Order: sequence, then structure tokens, then C-alpha cells
Amino acid sequence: MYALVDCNNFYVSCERLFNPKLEGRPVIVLSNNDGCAVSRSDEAKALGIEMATPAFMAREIIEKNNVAVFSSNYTLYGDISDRVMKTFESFVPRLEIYSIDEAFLDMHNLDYTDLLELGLQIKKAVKKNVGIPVCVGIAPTKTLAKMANRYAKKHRKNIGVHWAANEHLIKEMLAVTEVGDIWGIGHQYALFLKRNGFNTALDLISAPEEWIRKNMTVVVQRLFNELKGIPAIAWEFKPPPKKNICTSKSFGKLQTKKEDIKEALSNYAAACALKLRNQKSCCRSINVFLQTNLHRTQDKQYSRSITIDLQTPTNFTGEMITYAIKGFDIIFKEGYNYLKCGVMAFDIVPDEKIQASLFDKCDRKKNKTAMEAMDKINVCLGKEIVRLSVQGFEKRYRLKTEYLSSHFTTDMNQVLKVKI
Amino acid sequence: MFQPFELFKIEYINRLIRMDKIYLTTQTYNRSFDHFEATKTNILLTDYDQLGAAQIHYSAVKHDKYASIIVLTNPKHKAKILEMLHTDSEYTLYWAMVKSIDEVKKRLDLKYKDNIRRYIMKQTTWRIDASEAIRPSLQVIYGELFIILKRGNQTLRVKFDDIEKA
Repeated sequence: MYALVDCNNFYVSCERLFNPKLEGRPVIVLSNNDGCAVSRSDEAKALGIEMATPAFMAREIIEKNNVAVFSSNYTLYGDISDRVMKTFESFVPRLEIYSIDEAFLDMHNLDYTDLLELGLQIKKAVKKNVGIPVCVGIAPTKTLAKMANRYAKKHRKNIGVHWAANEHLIKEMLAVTEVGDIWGIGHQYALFLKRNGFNTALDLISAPEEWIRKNMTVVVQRLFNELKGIPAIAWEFKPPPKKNICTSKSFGKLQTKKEDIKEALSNYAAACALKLRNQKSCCRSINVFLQTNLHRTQDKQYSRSITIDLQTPTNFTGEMITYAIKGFDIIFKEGYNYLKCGVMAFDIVPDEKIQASLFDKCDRKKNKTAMEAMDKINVCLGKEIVRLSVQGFEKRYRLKTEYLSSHFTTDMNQVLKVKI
Repeated sequence: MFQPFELFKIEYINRLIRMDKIYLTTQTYNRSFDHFEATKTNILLTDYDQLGAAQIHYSAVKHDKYASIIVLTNPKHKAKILEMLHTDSEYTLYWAMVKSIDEVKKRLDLKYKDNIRRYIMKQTTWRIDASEAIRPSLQVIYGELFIILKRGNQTLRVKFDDIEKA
């Protein structure tokens, strides 16, 4: 059996954790740069604030209904997520972390255990230990577990757990799930299936296998088996190494100065290098891109990117920054209001299998030791405590976070103080 | 037929209430057919402390003629249970609870080892040596008995009825 445990309105729940006055009040959390609503409390949903509504479009509802608004506080959410996952780990031998707020739990080896009771215990423990409400869906496959979780949220609100253990319960669940709501079915496939008379997941599993094979991809065939209770999606207890890495963010304010954008780009290149080192790989080429805001019709528009092949595959921060700046110098043009820049790392290879170059002047052994030391210090003492001077400190381009809450669990200066 | 569950007794009612396990889901139980009392209907009771959990179990067996949720704090429901427990009643009540898991394991090994082996040979692609030990485990899912068979990374969940027929 597979279980999918998912935190309810995770970002909002994290904000409520340290601000109990928000209970019962509509709350939304905005995406990067305070752009769109990415997490909404049930009260905010009831007011009609849809997922991904731009903040400026919801302003009237926000002001009229006293909606509490927060900027994304990923430091806080990441730390709370760690605590939630650790609580899950205490219940099952293995788990697969699927995203910041959900995980698949392996329940195959839990003999003589009532899984419904276990689901209830998990829910209770996470609420008690961390303070976050969760829903649990248990079923014979990953896709059905995901569906069971959704079913628990919508139809088993009183306990927030659903164990689709037998045929009746699975059929009941399939009958109320629209094809578009099946995990892995996108918008276009949903339209195609509906056009062919498949409205619910139950309709889909009654489709002839031949029809599925003829009209759908291998991925949907796999999903078809999963819906029938045959596990077809393998466990990924360790996330597979990424094939491409991209670091890019919109600026909090439009940028015009070359030096400020260069500082931002250096930081993104450094972040790419760190991600490469974390998965023990190097990249053979990088892409640097730069763009203005397409929606500002009053501004002149400019968008360019450049791909640079590296002489030797690397994951060293200094080298990555050097190449990124080289590309940036080529594509940058004065006189534009820039919104965004970024760095992408391509052709990723394991760091033990890099092809050395005869003309390479870099002392790679020394650089590797320096990077290891830098990473260790940054892990112990805080993110980017040691950095290259070109990365700067001011970060004038930093994201807009007007409604940011404190880092309650990760910064000693921001820990809540209780007066007794 | 393998019957691992306890008979439900009057004294359990107050104990369950004290433990806050006041919801009982009922369903037909066919594993305890008694030739001397063929007219009696066997009912299996499963206790829950939350109505939601009892409701899931109820949904799983709602096609059963005797499926219902009994709330022990409801006087009418309690009176009905007491009536069903009376010696003259037409029902025998069982509780989805085993006294000793070890004993159940022992009974499984003694009585159903050969059936399990036959089932594996006939219904699966597993080829088991005579020397290879099979460690089955029992699972009760919404009142229905299943056998869990494991070999290497593979796991099979089989209805106990199918093992008995093998």
C-alpha cells in the first residue's frame, strides 16, 4: 500500500503556526515578487480568490474582507517542511519526498497494522509535533493514493484520512473524480478524453486497453494500470540528478544599471554551481539570458540569450561566474528597463567523469578543496557567509517582499519571545 | 474455516465506551458457520473512536445486508446490541480483535502452509523450493481477511478465501 500525505494549504498553515490570530481569518500567501496567490486558506477560497490570481486583481476582495496577505517565506516553509517529513519518517520504513508539502509513504511492510488507524495517527502526530494539518490518502498504487488524498480532503473532511482498500471504495472514489483531476492527466488530455465520452476516472478504466494503446502515450497507459490497482510508477526514494539546472528570478524593481544586473547574475551563477556540486556533477555549457518586461508596452523591449561551451566541465563558483559574466557582457545593452536575468546549466555530467582539457590552466584539485571548504562553512554558519566579492551584499535587485513574516525557526534574532 | 476473532461479550460494551471507542461498524461474518446453530446469523463488529473512520468502513461494506454503524452512547443502538447479544437472539456477534497474534501465526503455519504453497504454485509465477520458508502474515481490511505473501521485493495480497480453496 502507498500513502500520500499532503499538508493542507501549507504556506498559509506555516504562517498561522506563529500567528494564531489568523485562525478563522482569510489568509493568502503570494508568489515571488508578491505576484500571485499561491496558497489560500479555506476562508480565502470561499471568498472566490482563485489559485494564481494576481495580487493586484484581488486587491478589492482583500481590502473589503480584511484578508491577511503574506509574501512567500521559503526559509520558514523549508524548515517546517523538514520537521513534517521527519515526523513521517518515524511511522514508515521508507518515504519519497514528492514536494515541499507532500510525500509518498511506503506502507508495504507494515504487517498486522491497521492502515486507517496508522493514517489517523500520522495526521494527529504531525498536528501535535509540528502544528500543521495534513490529509492522508492510502491506496494500492501511487495514482490511487493521490486520488485518495484528494477524496479525503473533499469527502472525508471530518477525519482527513481515506484508505481505499477494497474494490467498492476504489470505485466510489473513481466515480467522483473527473478525468481532468487525475494525477498526470493534463488539460489537453482531459479535453480529448471528455470528447471521447470519458468524464470520470471510472469511465476511463472501463476503456478498452486497445483504445488506450492506440490513442494515448505510454505515460497514460502506465496511469491506466495504476488506476486499475496495478503499481506502474516506481519509487524514487532518492531524487534523480537533474539534467538541466536553471536559476532565475525577476527583479523586485526594474533594473537599468549594468553593475547591479551583473551582481544578480553572479549570484544566480553561484547558485547554479552550488546545485551542481550538491548533486556531484558538472556542466559542459551554460546559457545566460536577459529580458525586459513584455507587459510594459510603454518601454522599449529587449530579450537575448547566449550559450557558452565551457573548456572543461565545471561546478566551481568562480569559473561559472566568469563564464556567465563573459556571456552577459556580450548580450547586455544600455538603455533598457530589465526585469529578469538568469543562468542555465546544460550537458550535465558526473563530476568524476569529466573530460579534461590539455589547455586547461585551472588548478582543479585546489579549487575543489576550496569549494568543499566554502560549502562546509556556509552549511554551518549560514547561506552565503563565504562568497565571491562580485556577488556583492546590497542586492538592490532583490525580490519584492512587502508582507514577509519573520524567520521564526531559523534566525536567533527572530525567534518569538514569550513573556511569562 | 479459519476463524481468528473473539466472540463479542456484554462486558465489552462498557469497556469500549470507557475507551471512547463508541462506534461499531457491523457486517455479515461467514467464517464461523456452526452446523448446530445454522439458523443464527454471524455478525462482525469493528470498533472505532471516530465516526469518520467508521463511515469509511461502512462505505466499504455498504452492499452488505447487515452493514450499519452502531453508536454505543445512543440508548436505542445500545439496546439493540444488548438484544442481539441475548442467548435467544438470532445473531452471534464477533469482534474484529484477536487475543494473540502469535497464536494466530501458529495456527496459520500449521493449517494453511500447504494451501499457501499450492496457491503460489497455481496462481503465481513464483517457484519456491521445498526448503524455502514462506512467512505469511494476516491482515484484516474492513472486516475481510487477507494473507500477505512476501518473496524478495515482491508482495502479494490474497483473499483468505482463495487460500482456503487452494
